[in-house]
Amino acid sequence: MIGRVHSLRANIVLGFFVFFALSILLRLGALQLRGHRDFSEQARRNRAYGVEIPPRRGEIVDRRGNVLATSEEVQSLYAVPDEISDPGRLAARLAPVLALEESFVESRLRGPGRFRWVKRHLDGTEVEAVRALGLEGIGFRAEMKRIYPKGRLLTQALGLTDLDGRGLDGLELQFDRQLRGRPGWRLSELDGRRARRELIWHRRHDIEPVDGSALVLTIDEVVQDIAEEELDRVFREYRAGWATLIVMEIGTGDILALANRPTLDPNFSRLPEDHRRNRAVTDTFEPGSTFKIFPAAVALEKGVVDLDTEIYCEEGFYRGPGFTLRDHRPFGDLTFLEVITRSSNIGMAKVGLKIGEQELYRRLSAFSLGEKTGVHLPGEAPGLLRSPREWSRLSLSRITMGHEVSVTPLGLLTAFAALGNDGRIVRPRIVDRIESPDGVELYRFPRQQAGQPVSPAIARRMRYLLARVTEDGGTGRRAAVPGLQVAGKTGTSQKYPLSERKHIASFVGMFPASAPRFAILVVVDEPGPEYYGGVVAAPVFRRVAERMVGQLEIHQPLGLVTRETEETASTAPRM
Amino acid sequence: MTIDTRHSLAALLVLVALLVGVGLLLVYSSSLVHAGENRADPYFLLRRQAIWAGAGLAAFIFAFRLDYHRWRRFSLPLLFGGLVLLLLLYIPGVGRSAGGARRWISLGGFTFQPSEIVKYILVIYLADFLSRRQDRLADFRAVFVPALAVIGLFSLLVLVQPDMGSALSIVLVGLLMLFVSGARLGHLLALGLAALPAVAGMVLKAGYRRQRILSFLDPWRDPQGSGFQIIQSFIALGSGGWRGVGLGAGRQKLYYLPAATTDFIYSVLGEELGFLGTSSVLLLFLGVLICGYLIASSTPDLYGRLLTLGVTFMLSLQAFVNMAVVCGLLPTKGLPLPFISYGGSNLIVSLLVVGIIGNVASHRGRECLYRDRKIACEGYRPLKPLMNPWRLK
Repeated sequence: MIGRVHSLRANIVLGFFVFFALSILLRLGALQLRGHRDFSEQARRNRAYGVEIPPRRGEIVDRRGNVLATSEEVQSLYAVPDEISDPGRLAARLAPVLALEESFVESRLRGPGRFRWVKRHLDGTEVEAVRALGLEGIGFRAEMKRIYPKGRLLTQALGLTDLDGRGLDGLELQFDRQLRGRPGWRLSELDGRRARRELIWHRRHDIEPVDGSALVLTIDEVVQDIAEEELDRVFREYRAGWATLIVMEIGTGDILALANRPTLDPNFSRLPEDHRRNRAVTDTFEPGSTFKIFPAAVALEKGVVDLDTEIYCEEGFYRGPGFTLRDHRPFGDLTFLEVITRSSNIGMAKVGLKIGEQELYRRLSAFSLGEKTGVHLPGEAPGLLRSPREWSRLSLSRITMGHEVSVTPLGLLTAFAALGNDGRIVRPRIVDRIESPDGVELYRFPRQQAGQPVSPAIARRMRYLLARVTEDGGTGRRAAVPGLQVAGKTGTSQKYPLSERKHIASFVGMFPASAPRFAILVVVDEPGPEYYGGVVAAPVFRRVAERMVGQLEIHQPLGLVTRETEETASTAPRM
Repeated sequence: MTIDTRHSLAALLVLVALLVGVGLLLVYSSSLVHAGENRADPYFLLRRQAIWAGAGLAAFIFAFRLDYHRWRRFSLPLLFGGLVLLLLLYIPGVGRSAGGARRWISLGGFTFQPSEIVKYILVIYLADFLSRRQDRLADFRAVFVPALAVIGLFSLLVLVQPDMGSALSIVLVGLLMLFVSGARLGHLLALGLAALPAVAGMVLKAGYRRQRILSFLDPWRDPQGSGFQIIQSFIALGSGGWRGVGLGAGRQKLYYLPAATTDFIYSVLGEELGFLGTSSVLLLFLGVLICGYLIASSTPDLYGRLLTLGVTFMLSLQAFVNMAVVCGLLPTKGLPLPFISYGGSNLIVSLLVVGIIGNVASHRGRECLYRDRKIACEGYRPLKPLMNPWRLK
């Protein structure tokens, strides 16, 4: 075998190459023909990129256009666990930057999966810091974060949203559908780089989001601010359990301010349940003497008494038919007017006996005291006014002094405001209208009347009566505003189980008395050491009214409510 | 019908022209997005590849017209030239590294890979060496040891670049030339046994090689890491199906495939033109192999025959290894696909050696001239045609 190329060997080599080529051909067949479906699917999944584009949630503004709730775009950090080879090391680098537990971060990074949140709503410095690390397998996605620029203002009524922007409470919950808007979405493909970029020319769908509608409230930020401050003051000063203050415009039912304590700034804290409760509408309480207004109006309307009717108040201890009563101090003979201004339980009980059970119940019901007001806030509780069938022998006397009934603060104020509106009840409103994001009015909430429990003449007479409560000698004298006639009623109720220490102090009032424009209710739970409504709640009314007068340029109208004006039952047009 | 060398040559030239054409299309398709984004010119790579194809054509014509026996005279200087090129890589300013490998020489703004040239220099040298010692081809000390020393030296120099793929192809083609020229089987077997531990040690020592082997055995062990490349290649091939997604419409080249314009250009072909595309190119290369073999078989002088076989084996080996890597039959090597992958050294040298084969083919029957021209062809003895499986003349 010398001097020539071996034919056999050359053929073996040739055969080896042909065999090589054939095995490649077979392999190609397996991959390309048999594996076609699987690999195509895998390719599609690798590239597929679908993202929801969040809409901007509608703003909530006050009646002047001040922004109370808005949304801003923030970045949220997510992980692609499938692309992370060493979760432990990545977590060790990420955790300190995000101020999270390393073990928690690691649990978020560990596979399998294509998407998992690591931390939502990062602030600007965190985003910068994470970007600076230049890590792989994580990414940012834009989200909308709810911002409450006024902090603690109107917290409970506004409510709050969860991280995904769904309303959880308050107006955010009640009007979630309107506020939310509709998300846009995009279907597209990504390239294979580590920092994956969209292949824009392969974008198949690109639907713009529709931003949510805006709520325009009846709330007036100026008044709300006053309310928050003054309520805060009384809440702290008397170490109260909770407190509520509502300011309502008479005639329209517009709620100008609605404040609750305790409260927190929703931007920075997870609100505990206790701080989220909008007690002004969700909680009922026994109003005590403030409630006497209604049986008093009923008595006048029915004509069983007039202002001068003398009532013997049994020197502070009365053994009635089936019940005994005490007054906070002994009284002898009092006129009906004095019974109210001095808040005699015994006097009121006697008046109640004169009215009779059925009549009292029927006429109190006309004040809608046992119903919901229908305000557009979630979780509103109805009041409780039982029918005489369920009454005990005690009930009549208890109800005339504001026990055995319960009302929400808003329900009480709504019924009370009727006296400033010629006896007509107007349903409270907190939302004036819904506007599209570009300010076009979509819906305006109408002003609704809900019956007339008393005649205009009696309403005026009641205002005179209540104006006297805030004058010298009345329990509500601390509510008097210099230079402005106000009308109102104090209340101090013991809480059940009856105890000497636990009280609810309240004051409900309106001003100016002769042509009322605003009604205010102050409720303070378990104040201490002082607990009388006239001492704890009345001054809050005064300060709020005073400051509103200063801010809103409210003038004392010509002429006060006097014995004469109300007796002549003037029909002069109201302002 | 008989097929003589002229037919083989014509077929070879058509096949190669087709391959170069497919290569230009694929280089453009696989590079246009990247070049468009990074150089603001989607034609950038295509233009350069076209220029190199032109240079390759010139090289082909040069080699086609140059009597192939002339290469013999220069086989030793060429060998030393190749050695110098490989050593030049280590001169700062001339040698260029990229991706952790020192494979490129930069001269006056022109970079090329010496290993691409050296492969064929070795083929030329071995063809000359073996035909000069054709009387002692089975002689261990006169032929086997010196040949092995040269093969070993060159493959080692290429290996340390590191360029495992080229080194292995040098060794493999060198041994194939020894094998077909008549080296003792015992010698070859002994060598293989002796080399086994060394090769195994080398593979296990270099971490990235071990990674490659492991990810070759099971790419899904680490789909985001070492298995990523081959899985992306599978996905590209598999997405193609029978007919592919259409030329230019492939997505895997958009940064999913590694080295989409060079080592994995066959995957791009598979995605865009499907099984029909891949099998056609495979058949084209098989055709090149067969044409080369037929030409060699009817070349009566040993030098020409060994030269043609060596060159044909080298081209085919690179092509088939590249395809096998792309479809996961072999671990990742870093070998380009001849005629098709983007890269000047590869294209120009491949076309040049096709020219050499062409020259061999066109000399059939005129061997007697060489003696008169006193071109190195001592010991000339006409050979019988190789037996071929197709019974073709």
